[in-house]
Amino acid sequence: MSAVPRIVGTRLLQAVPLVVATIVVNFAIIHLAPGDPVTMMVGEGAVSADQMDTLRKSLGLDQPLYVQFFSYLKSVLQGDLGISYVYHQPVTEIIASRIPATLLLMGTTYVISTILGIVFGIVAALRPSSAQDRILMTVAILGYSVPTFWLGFLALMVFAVELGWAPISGMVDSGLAAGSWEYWLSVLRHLALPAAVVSLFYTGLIARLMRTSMLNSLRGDFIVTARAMGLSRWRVILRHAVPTAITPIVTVLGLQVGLMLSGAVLTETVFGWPGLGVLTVQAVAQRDYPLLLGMFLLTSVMVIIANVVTDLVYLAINPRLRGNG
Amino acid sequence: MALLEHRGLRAALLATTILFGGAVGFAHAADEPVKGGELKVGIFAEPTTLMPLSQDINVQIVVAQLYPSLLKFDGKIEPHPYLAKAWRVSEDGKTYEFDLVEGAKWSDGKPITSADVKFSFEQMIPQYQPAGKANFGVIESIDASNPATVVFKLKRAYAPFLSLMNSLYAPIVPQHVYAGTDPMKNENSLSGAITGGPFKIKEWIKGDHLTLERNPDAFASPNLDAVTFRFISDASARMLALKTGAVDYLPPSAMPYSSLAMLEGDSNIKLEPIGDEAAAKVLTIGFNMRKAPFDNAKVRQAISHAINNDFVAAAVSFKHETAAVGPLNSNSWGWDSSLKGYKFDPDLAGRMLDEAGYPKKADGFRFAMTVNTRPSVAVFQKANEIVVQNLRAVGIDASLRPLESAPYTASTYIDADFDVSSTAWISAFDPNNLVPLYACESIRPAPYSNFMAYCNKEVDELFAKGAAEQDQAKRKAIYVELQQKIIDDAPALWPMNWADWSAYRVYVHGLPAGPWDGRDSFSDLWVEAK
Repeated sequence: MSAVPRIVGTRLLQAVPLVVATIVVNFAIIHLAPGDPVTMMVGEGAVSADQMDTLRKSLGLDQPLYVQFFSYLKSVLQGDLGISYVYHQPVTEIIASRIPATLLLMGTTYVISTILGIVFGIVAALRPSSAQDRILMTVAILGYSVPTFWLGFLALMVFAVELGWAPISGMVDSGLAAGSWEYWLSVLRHLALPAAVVSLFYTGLIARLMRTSMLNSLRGDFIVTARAMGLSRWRVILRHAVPTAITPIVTVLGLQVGLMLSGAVLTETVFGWPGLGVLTVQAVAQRDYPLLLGMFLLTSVMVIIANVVTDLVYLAINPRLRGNG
Repeated sequence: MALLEHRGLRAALLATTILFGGAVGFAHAADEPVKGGELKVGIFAEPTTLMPLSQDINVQIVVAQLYPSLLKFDGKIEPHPYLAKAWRVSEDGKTYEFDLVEGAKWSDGKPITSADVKFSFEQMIPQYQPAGKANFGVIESIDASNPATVVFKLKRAYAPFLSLMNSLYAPIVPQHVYAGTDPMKNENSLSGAITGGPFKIKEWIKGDHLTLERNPDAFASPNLDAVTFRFISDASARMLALKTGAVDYLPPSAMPYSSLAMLEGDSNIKLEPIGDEAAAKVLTIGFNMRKAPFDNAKVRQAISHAINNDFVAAAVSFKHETAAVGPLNSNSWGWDSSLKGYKFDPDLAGRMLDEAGYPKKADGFRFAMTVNTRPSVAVFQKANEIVVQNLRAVGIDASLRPLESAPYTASTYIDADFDVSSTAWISAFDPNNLVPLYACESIRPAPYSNFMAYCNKEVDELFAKGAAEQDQAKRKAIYVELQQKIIDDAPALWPMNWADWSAYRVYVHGLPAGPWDGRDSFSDLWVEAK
């Protein structure tokens, strides 16, 4: 067990250069992309070249790229992601204001699809090629192969337009006192459709993986041994087959945590969900470099952290890894 | 990426420096207005700020409710009292006097006076409103010695002056809040705490919606109790929101032609080019006249004959628009049916290109060219696809050059690195709006300038004559002559008249009817009691 702190330390240390590399690459990509933020900002008016130069100077965009980079790196290390060109507010504040919405949508989705995906995967694997297996897997394949924006519109057409059960857009109705139960009820009503659509996607993905993994596990020698020892069928499945089968699922779930915060761009757009996905799309359109860099950084760091955490979870559920980290 | 859809083109509409407008329409108010109720508006992106002089279309529609302007306008750009209850223009057209409404107050209780007006026109609008310098450079001095009256002295008579006094071009901002500050960074531009318009901020759920409520202390009391702006970036989702009544009104900036086609036939929804005679623009596909062969008038005229304008207009607008003749929309008072455009005649186009020295070569083509397009702007994309086919039919090896918004703007306006490129030009309600696109002085590397590098001294002289003339009939004659000159020079193709369509539920009345896509005071708007 003494190896565990060392492994944790190593993993964290490895993450640091990765984060720095991410910052460099993100910065380079954004600044090498065609298009000038100043041109986008002045937009419509007949603006003089002088005014544009002044604006460029005030944003520090007249400086050589490496100067811009080091000043950016310096402020990032101090926890300052800069001021958005478009909103004129600190990037950290803007991003923070959108995290709850994305967290609500993706968190709900995550819990639902993890539980359903694993259950469906197990149920399907218990009787391969049976009717229940075929039905579940057909739904699963449809779930993760049908584009979510298309499914989103379909859901809107049926449940919002035709049946009128769900609201069409946004996260909450106007004029409700924040925190009141009417407010949360309204949020819940708005959440149902987008959460269902995104859940269908991830449930399908996880169910397919779980089924394959479970089938492998059920063929293992240890299962034969367990059965031979006279353990009950469900004890064999739940205590021996499932824990083994679930390891690869943890990898996928871990990666998803990292991607979750970047928001479901298409779903958020279709449902008008006020999360980070829509914010990113907007930042791209408006060449809001600081905001875009902030979003990229957040996503990258989340993926890196998720990877580290996944490794650690591995250690917890698979004792064999503890010896040779 | 639906939210990209309109940004550039709306920006282009605004582009004209000498634009005026703003209007509150009475066109639909058949019955007596009802007090109370809420209007829900679907806009395509969240306002990025509440800065009263922002250039963001989704900010403008909100701040028009929060800040006063001296006048408001109907669909015919006729001025109506607003913050100014009365006004006088001197005989020589060089002095304008406005009497302010008595007792008008900012939301912190301080009075709105002529000093605020003077401050806005001297310190704020020229510096921060994109068209401010061009619009109001004509002002020589402003006298605010009487707090209830403001007097503008102009350097010369300038006919469009009154129509510039709208909330988009000339919002009045509180001097005691903004004096000596950068309005972009001013705390009030983020919070909207101190305002003076018909509505004030009630709640802003970031990313979701922004709700305004009636400002009880306003100089102009609105009919509505509240206005909610919902941010819906996807065009189809907006359309569904209107269909289900989740929103009541989609301003033109939120209404692509494709949505128009899909909303047709719904008896609960009205589709109208509100403010049509004022707001209409022309799809303009300009040549880069700096380079061969487009420096040759004969080549440009030949290409003008090669394009099937009727087909472009019908296909792009789902048959809601007609082909344009020249740079002004045919709804403009400055347009005339006597203007002579280019007939669709590919054979003639071919012969003219032969004569211009560009015969077909062995590969069947005369020369190659690219057509700048923005796939995210449906009108540009569809029109340019047809233009390319028309060009190929007369032996020009044309191909689309799809560019995303920022590189598109750079290649068209800044670097002049293109063959032809598209823009939308608001031209209708005063022909003087053609100056930023067609005058020699407007050739400069800046967005929404004369990107074609078109320069004709005779046209410039007519521009000057038209702006100085006060009599509308005489102005029209000048502008008809001017348009024919531009048409003959063929610096651009004008395939389609392009109106601003609004969609709203039938119980909504009195929508802003001016040329500003609804970016105007909602004080006269009302909804039928449900």
